[in-house]
Amino acid sequence: EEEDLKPKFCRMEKTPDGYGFHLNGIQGVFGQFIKEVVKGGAAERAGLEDDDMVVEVNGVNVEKSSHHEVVEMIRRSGNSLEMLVARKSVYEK
Amino acid sequence: SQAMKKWVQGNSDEAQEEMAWQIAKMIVNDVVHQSNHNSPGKSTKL
Repeated sequence: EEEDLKPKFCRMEKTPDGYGFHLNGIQGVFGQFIKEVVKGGAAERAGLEDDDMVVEVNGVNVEKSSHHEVVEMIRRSGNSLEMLVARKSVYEK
Repeated sequence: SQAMKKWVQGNSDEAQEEMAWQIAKMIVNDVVHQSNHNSPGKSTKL
């Protein structure tokens, strides 16, 4: 589908349960990706899906950032978060 | 093997300590290797 090829811009507000997703990374490999998107949570409502690759956090490119760095950026983001993500299948092309 | 000789000959405290040390190192190395191998990923709830 054409639609799937576009990166997604997702904006979400923090809830008492957080944003409702897990950030995953593999040691020694660049790139952080989305997992365990909570049904009905802020992240799902913003359009995040499992296996989306994170390209930007609040306008900052994080493709070469470590897991820890990206986690810190999201935590320092306050009560709202903007992420640019791409489907893994698209990202790897 | 130095440890083994001492173990067989004298069974001294020193030899026992050496043996325990070697085994402990083997165990720790194994654990480190296993955990690196089995969970190369990091996941953070946000």
